[in-house]
Amino acid sequence: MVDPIPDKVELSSEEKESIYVHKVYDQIAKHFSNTRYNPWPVIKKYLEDQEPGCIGADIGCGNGKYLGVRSGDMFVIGSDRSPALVEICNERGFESMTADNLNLPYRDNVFDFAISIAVIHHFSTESRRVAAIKEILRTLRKGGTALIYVWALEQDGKRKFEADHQDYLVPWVTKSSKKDSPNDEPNQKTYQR
Amino acid sequence: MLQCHAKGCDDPAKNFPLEISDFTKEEIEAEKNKDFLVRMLPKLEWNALYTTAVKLGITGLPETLPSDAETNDEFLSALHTVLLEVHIKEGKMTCNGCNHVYPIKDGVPNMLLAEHEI
Repeated sequence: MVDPIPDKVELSSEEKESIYVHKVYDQIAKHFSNTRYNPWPVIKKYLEDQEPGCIGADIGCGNGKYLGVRSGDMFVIGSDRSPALVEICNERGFESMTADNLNLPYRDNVFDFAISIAVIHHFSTESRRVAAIKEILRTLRKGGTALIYVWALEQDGKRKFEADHQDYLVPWVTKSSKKDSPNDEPNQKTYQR
Repeated sequence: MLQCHAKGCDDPAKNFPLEISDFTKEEIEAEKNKDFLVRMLPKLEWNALYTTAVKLGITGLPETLPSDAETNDEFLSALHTVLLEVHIKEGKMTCNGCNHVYPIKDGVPNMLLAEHEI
């Protein structure tokens, strides 16, 4: 298995995210979407617990996995930075748009709730991560809630992460079924460890 | 529901609602949920919704919210159509403050700003 690499890339945050996040997701969108289909129980419950008639946002909605969890009596609007992933949402019949978490196209205090699932760790600096959270909070009405999931600093799994380094580039390996070679070259994205 | 909705968009000059133009739309039937519609009423920016609907060539919405909105079935049906059934396939949304044009292609709006607009 391909190991994660400590992030020591010397580029500006925007450049780093452009190469290691935006371009990567545009290439892996379809494969990525195929591996994202089971709504996680805690998030599913959070959505099901919302009042009927509420409006929410899924910021960084990916392939729209959570946009269809509950339909008919609430409205959830999705946004993602990756045009390729938003297109997949659209094909699945969900309302979504291309937008940047750091600059959301929503007015202040409009949503009853927001979810941000496995998104914020894609930002390459702490200040950008904080800014992303602030943006999410800006769109919530008074008393609204947000559910945010990110990669944990503590990792016990198969991947090797060194204790002294927080940010890593984590490999995404695509497999080509039609060609002879078993692997395409691994693509990588920046994760908060 | 996309864009035929009270939700506005932000731009550096903070303007809402965005002006829709050069659009094609389609209507896709959706199940009507009266409870949902009634609960949505207080969340709607009626003026914005109304002017946008008019611009989209949708008749049927009254200029002001009727006093019996919650029980007026005819009104709720019209609202249902606007909120949940009308979809914009192609179009442009322009900010009246800074003139930035947000395109809608294939039903998907692109809300990204250029570097100098952030």
